Amino acid sequence: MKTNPPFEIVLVEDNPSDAKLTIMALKEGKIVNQIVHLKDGEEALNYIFCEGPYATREMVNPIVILLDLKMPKINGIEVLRKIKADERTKSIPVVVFTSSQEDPDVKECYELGVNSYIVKPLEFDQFSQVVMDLGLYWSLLNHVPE
Amino acid sequence: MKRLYDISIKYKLILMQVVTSFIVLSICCTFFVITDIKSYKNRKAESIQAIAQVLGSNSISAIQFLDTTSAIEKLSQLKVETDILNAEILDKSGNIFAIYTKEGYLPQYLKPPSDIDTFKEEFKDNQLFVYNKIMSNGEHIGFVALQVELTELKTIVNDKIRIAALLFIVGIVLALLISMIFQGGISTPILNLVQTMQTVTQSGNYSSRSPVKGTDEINTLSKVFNLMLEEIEKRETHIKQRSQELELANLKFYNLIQSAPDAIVTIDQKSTITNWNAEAVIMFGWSEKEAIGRRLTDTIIPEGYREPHERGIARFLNTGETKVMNKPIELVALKKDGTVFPIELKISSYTFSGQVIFIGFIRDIRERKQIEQKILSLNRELENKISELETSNKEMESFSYSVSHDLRAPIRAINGFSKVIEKQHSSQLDEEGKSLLHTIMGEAIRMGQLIDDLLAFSRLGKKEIEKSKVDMTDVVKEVVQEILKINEQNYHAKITVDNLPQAACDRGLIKQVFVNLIGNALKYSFQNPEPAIQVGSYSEKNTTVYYVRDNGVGFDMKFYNKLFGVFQRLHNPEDFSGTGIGLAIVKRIIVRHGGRVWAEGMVNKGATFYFSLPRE
Repeated sequence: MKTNPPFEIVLVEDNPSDAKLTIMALKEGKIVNQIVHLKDGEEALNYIFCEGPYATREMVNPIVILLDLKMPKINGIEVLRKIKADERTKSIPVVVFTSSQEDPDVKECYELGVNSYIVKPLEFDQFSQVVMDLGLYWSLLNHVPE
Repeated sequence: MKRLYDISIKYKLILMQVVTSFIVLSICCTFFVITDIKSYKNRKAESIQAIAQVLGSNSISAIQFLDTTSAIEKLSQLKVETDILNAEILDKSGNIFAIYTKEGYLPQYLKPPSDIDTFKEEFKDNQLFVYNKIMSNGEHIGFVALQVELTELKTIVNDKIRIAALLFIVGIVLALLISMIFQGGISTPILNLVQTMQTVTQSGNYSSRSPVKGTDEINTLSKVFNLMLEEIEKRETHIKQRSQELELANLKFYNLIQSAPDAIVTIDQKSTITNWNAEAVIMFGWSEKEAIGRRLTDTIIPEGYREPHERGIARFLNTGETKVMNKPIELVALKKDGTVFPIELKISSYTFSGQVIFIGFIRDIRERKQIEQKILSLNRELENKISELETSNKEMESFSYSVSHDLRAPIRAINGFSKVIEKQHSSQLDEEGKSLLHTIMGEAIRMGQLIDDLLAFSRLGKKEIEKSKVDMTDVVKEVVQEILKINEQNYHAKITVDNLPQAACDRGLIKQVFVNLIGNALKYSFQNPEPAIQVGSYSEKNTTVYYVRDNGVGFDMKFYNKLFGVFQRLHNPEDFSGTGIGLAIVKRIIVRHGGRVWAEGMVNKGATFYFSLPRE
């Protein structure tokens, strides 16, 4: 297992406020892993598969991807489908992060093999708690197959 | 003159009897009269003969002595015999010796006949002539001749004829009477029989019977005739009954056909119309009189369809094959005025005496066609509407999704960053600033709640209702427990749950109804020092009504129409929290279950919320 740079958390989120809050919450939870914020699906795929602007990046799987569903260009479902369809990336834990449980894509997410599905809580305390728990779980407790 | 054959048997019998009697009596009477006259004559002859003999013997001496005087004297003794007209004593050569003539009568020489033996009698002109030889010692000495008037004969003949006539009349009358009496025994039964036969023949009334009074041939004939009549009457009754039945059946059939809402037409196998009902008259414009006897082909089948029609009939008659029999088919028909219009036709057939008869039921389907067209276009419209609706539903869905996603994000941001300010920058804010920050956070949360409620409400519109038997008491108890768990403040409320009947409903949705109603009840009775909430039910018609009653602040009935509206609130949010969607959700759930919601309330006197569910 390559360790450089290790234990990366990828956050795919188009909404800057949500991204900022998520990052703040992770930091508040003393998560020290590097957090990579990608602003839409296209960027996320480029990053993960080391394409386009990230072609020079060494392909190292993040320890968890926090993925928003509703995004411009390529949405979260597509990103999830591609990640889970690729042998290289399908073992990356993906936590779908969405605004509401009304989401019609929830079922599809599970069919595609999402590892967790989280509704962003409205209340900041709850929200930061969820984010922290997630960060902790996936960065410390979960063991990814090598 | 009446012929013998024309005379009634009654008179024939009488006549026969009378004529027979007449002949017999005539013969008898004649014989009787003749016999009587003859016997009288014999008697007379004998008595005169005796007188002659006596006279002869007495005259012997006078003759021998030629004593005329003595002879005359002897003769004059005959005066007593008043019927003796002439008495003569003659000598043996026939010369008158002495003569006696009755007074007033002319003497007449009575010449003895030459062939006389000892005596002789002769009847001539109602007179008797007796001649007697006078013998003396075997010697013929003279004759006695007597001429006697048969005066009695006339009387006797008259008497006898009178008696005979009387007997004759009595006999005839008796014969008449007897024949009249006995002829009845023969002629009456025959006449009765004849009478009965005539009655039956003339009136056709087979119920009359010839009287039977005995066992003789005529009565036997009557009896047999009666039996025959009885049999005929039975058959007659049967025939009458059958013909009545037939008439009724015909009448029924006719009326049935006439009053049918469809045109009913029958044709024979040559396509000639044999029946044409009232509806056919209306439908095709041909009167019954005009139509019957016409060929169907030329009457109601438009040109171009005639040939296939003929071919179809021919094929059916030859092979029994048919494509059109016994099922409704849609065709076009021709009206008398030339109009061609759509019809529905059903043909059936039956065979009678080797002839096939076709029955056609024809329905004018112009209206139906129009309606079908209309339905088609309406269906198309409806389909368009449905697809529009589906589109707008999809739009609505994506709208809801956007709402939930996009509206929540800024709220999350407002709330989140406010929290960050509170945590990390509160030292830079005064108390007023902190309070305002709290207000911002509270409002943001409320906004989020509103969005969630609105989404829940719209979700109800598309959610399928899954009905099952639900123990309502169980549901209510579950709800009460959950509510108490969430908010400990509710512990002091007294919640009574009656034994509620089961209902066929969607458990999850009905639970939501009770959550909202009981939640409201607790919320609005919170200010009451002794809140009391009752959940109960009762039956009404085909429904069960469930209710939740509280002793809270109640409401003013004049705002009743706002009670179940979306985001409609009757209370100030400062007094009671809430988004105003709870009752709208209750209403939507109950309406989707086929039930009804309503409420009663008074300001500060509590409120009762009812909902009904149909009983299955």
